[in-house]
Amino acid sequence: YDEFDGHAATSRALLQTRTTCKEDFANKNYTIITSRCKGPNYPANVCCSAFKDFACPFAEVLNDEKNDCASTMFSYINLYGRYPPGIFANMCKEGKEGLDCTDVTQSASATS
Amino acid sequence: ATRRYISYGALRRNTIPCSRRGASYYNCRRGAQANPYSRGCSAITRCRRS
Repeated sequence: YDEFDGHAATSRALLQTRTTCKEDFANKNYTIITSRCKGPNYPANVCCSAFKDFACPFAEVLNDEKNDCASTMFSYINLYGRYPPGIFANMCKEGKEGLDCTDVTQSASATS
Repeated sequence: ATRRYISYGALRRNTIPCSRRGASYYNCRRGAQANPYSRGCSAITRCRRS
Protein backbone atom coordinates (compact mmCIF):
# COMPACT_ATOMS: atom_id res chain seq x y z
CA TYR A 1 0.00 0.00 0.00
CA ASP A 2 2.26 2.68 -1.33
CA GLU A 3 0.27 5.68 -0.22
CA PHE A 4 3.32 7.85 0.31
CA ASP A 5 6.53 7.80 -1.66
CA GLY A 6 9.33 6.05 0.14
CA HIS A 7 11.94 8.68 -0.60
CA ALA A 8 14.28 9.46 2.25
CA ALA A 9 13.54 12.69 4.08
CA THR A 10 15.31 14.45 6.89
CA SER A 11 12.28 16.49 7.89
CA ARG A 12 8.80 15.63 8.98
CA ALA A 13 5.50 17.35 8.53
CA LEU A 14 2.06 16.85 9.93
CA LEU A 15 0.30 14.54 7.52
CA GLN A 16 -2.99 16.30 8.04
CA THR A 17 -1.67 19.70 7.03
CA ARG A 18 -1.85 20.49 3.34
CA THR A 19 -0.34 23.43 1.55
CA THR A 20 -2.60 25.65 -0.47
CA CYS A 21 -2.96 24.75 -4.11
CA LYS A 22 -0.97 27.06 -6.35
CA GLU A 23 -2.87 26.05 -9.47
CA ASP A 24 -5.95 28.21 -9.95
CA PHE A 25 -8.75 25.66 -10.14
CA ALA A 26 -11.32 28.40 -9.72
CA ASN A 27 -10.76 29.46 -13.31
CA LYS A 28 -10.62 26.37 -15.46
CA ASN A 29 -12.70 25.19 -18.38
CA TYR A 30 -14.95 22.70 -16.65
CA THR A 31 -17.08 22.34 -19.75
CA ILE A 32 -14.53 19.74 -20.85
CA ILE A 33 -16.22 17.48 -18.30
CA THR A 34 -19.70 18.92 -17.94
CA SER A 35 -20.46 18.92 -21.65
CA ARG A 36 -19.71 15.21 -21.97
CA CYS A 37 -20.33 13.55 -18.60
CA LYS A 38 -24.08 13.84 -18.12
CA GLY A 39 -26.82 12.14 -16.18
CA PRO A 40 -28.87 10.16 -15.60
CA ASN A 41 -26.55 7.33 -16.60
CA TYR A 42 -23.12 8.98 -16.32
CA PRO A 43 -21.48 6.42 -18.64
CA ALA A 44 -18.13 5.41 -17.24
CA ASN A 45 -16.08 5.53 -20.41
CA VAL A 46 -17.39 8.96 -21.37
CA CYS A 47 -17.05 10.46 -17.89
CA CYS A 48 -13.62 9.04 -17.16
CA SER A 49 -12.30 10.08 -20.55
CA ALA A 50 -13.62 13.61 -20.08
CA PHE A 51 -12.17 13.74 -16.58
CA LYS A 52 -8.77 12.68 -17.86
CA ASP A 53 -8.88 15.27 -20.64
CA PHE A 54 -9.43 17.93 -18.02
CA ALA A 55 -7.20 16.69 -15.22
CA CYS A 56 -4.19 15.14 -16.98
CA PRO A 57 -2.52 18.50 -17.67
CA PHE A 58 -2.44 18.97 -13.89
CA ALA A 59 -1.46 15.41 -13.01
CA GLU A 60 1.73 16.46 -11.30
CA VAL A 61 0.12 18.83 -8.81
CA LEU A 62 -2.85 16.51 -8.34
CA ASN A 63 -0.65 13.57 -7.45
CA ASP A 64 1.17 15.58 -4.79
CA GLU A 65 -0.79 14.66 -1.70
CA LYS A 66 0.90 17.38 0.34
CA ASN A 67 -1.31 20.01 -1.23
CA ASP A 68 -5.06 20.33 -1.56
CA CYS A 69 -5.20 20.58 -5.36
CA ALA A 70 -7.15 17.35 -5.82
CA SER A 71 -9.75 18.26 -3.21
CA THR A 72 -10.12 21.73 -4.66
CA MET A 73 -10.47 20.46 -8.20
CA PHE A 74 -13.12 17.92 -7.23
CA SER A 75 -15.03 20.59 -5.33
CA TYR A 76 -15.29 22.70 -8.45
CA ILE A 77 -16.10 19.71 -10.65
CA ASN A 78 -18.97 18.77 -8.36
CA LEU A 79 -20.06 22.41 -8.15
CA TYR A 80 -20.29 22.93 -11.89
CA GLY A 81 -21.41 19.45 -12.84
CA ARG A 82 -23.71 18.59 -9.91
CA TYR A 83 -22.33 15.07 -9.96
CA PRO A 84 -23.24 12.30 -7.55
CA PRO A 85 -20.82 12.13 -4.63
CA GLY A 86 -17.64 10.27 -5.40
CA ILE A 87 -18.55 9.48 -8.97
CA PHE A 88 -15.07 9.69 -10.46
CA ALA A 89 -13.28 7.90 -7.64
CA ASN A 90 -15.79 5.08 -7.69
CA MET A 91 -16.08 4.74 -11.44
CA CYS A 92 -12.68 5.52 -12.91
CA LYS A 93 -10.22 2.67 -12.47
CA GLU A 94 -7.36 1.77 -14.76
CA GLY A 95 -3.92 0.35 -14.24
CA LYS A 96 -1.88 -0.16 -11.13
CA GLU A 97 -0.62 3.39 -10.88
CA GLY A 98 -3.81 5.24 -11.70
CA LEU A 99 -5.51 6.75 -14.70
CA ASP A 100 -3.26 6.59 -17.72
CA CYS A 101 -2.51 10.02 -19.18
CA THR A 102 -0.29 8.95 -22.04
CA ASP A 103 -3.11 8.99 -24.57
CA VAL A 104 -4.27 12.47 -23.53
CA THR A 105 -2.68 15.14 -25.68
CA GLN A 106 -1.41 18.19 -23.85
CA SER A 107 -3.85 20.94 -24.60
CA ALA A 108 -3.80 24.59 -23.68
CA SER A 109 -7.59 24.64 -23.87
CA ALA A 110 -7.71 23.37 -20.30
CA THR A 111 -7.18 26.93 -19.14
CA SER A 112 -9.89 29.42 -20.05
CA ALA B 1 7.53 17.20 -16.82
CA THR B 2 3.97 16.04 -16.58
CA ARG B 3 3.58 12.62 -15.09
CA ARG B 4 1.79 10.02 -17.11
CA TYR B 5 -0.79 9.07 -14.48
CA ILE B 6 -3.41 10.54 -12.24
CA SER B 7 -2.73 8.51 -9.13
CA TYR B 8 -5.38 6.82 -7.07
CA GLY B 9 -4.23 8.99 -4.20
CA ALA B 10 -5.46 12.01 -6.11
CA LEU B 11 -8.68 10.25 -7.07
CA ARG B 12 -9.28 9.41 -3.43
CA ARG B 13 -10.03 13.07 -2.82
CA ASN B 14 -13.28 12.44 -4.67
CA THR B 15 -14.49 9.76 -2.28
CA ILE B 16 -17.13 10.33 0.36
CA PRO B 17 -16.22 8.63 3.64
CA CYS B 18 -19.77 7.99 4.76
CA SER B 19 -22.64 9.53 2.87
CA ARG B 20 -25.44 7.76 4.74
CA ARG B 21 -27.31 10.10 7.01
CA GLY B 22 -27.30 8.96 10.59
CA ALA B 23 -24.73 6.22 10.06
CA SER B 24 -21.40 6.19 11.82
CA TYR B 25 -18.20 7.11 10.04
CA TYR B 26 -16.65 3.96 11.48
CA ASN B 27 -19.42 1.58 10.56
CA CYS B 28 -21.09 3.01 7.50
CA ARG B 29 -24.05 0.68 7.19
CA ARG B 30 -27.68 1.51 7.65
CA GLY B 31 -28.83 0.79 11.17
CA ALA B 32 -25.49 -0.66 12.22
CA GLN B 33 -24.03 -0.09 15.65
CA ALA B 34 -22.04 3.10 15.87
CA ASN B 35 -18.93 1.73 17.53
CA PRO B 36 -18.10 -1.71 16.17
CA TYR B 37 -14.82 -2.07 18.02
CA SER B 38 -14.44 -4.52 20.86
CA ARG B 39 -11.39 -4.01 23.01
CA GLY B 40 -11.47 -7.21 25.00
CA CYS B 41 -10.17 -7.52 28.53
CA SER B 42 -6.47 -7.26 29.30
CA ALA B 43 -4.59 -6.54 32.48
CA ILE B 44 -2.57 -3.72 30.92
CA THR B 45 -5.75 -1.71 30.52
CA ARG B 46 -6.66 -2.47 34.15
CA CYS B 47 -9.65 -4.40 33.06
CA ARG B 48 -11.00 -6.52 35.85
CA ARG B 49 -12.65 -9.73 34.85
CA SER B 50 -15.52 -11.20 36.83
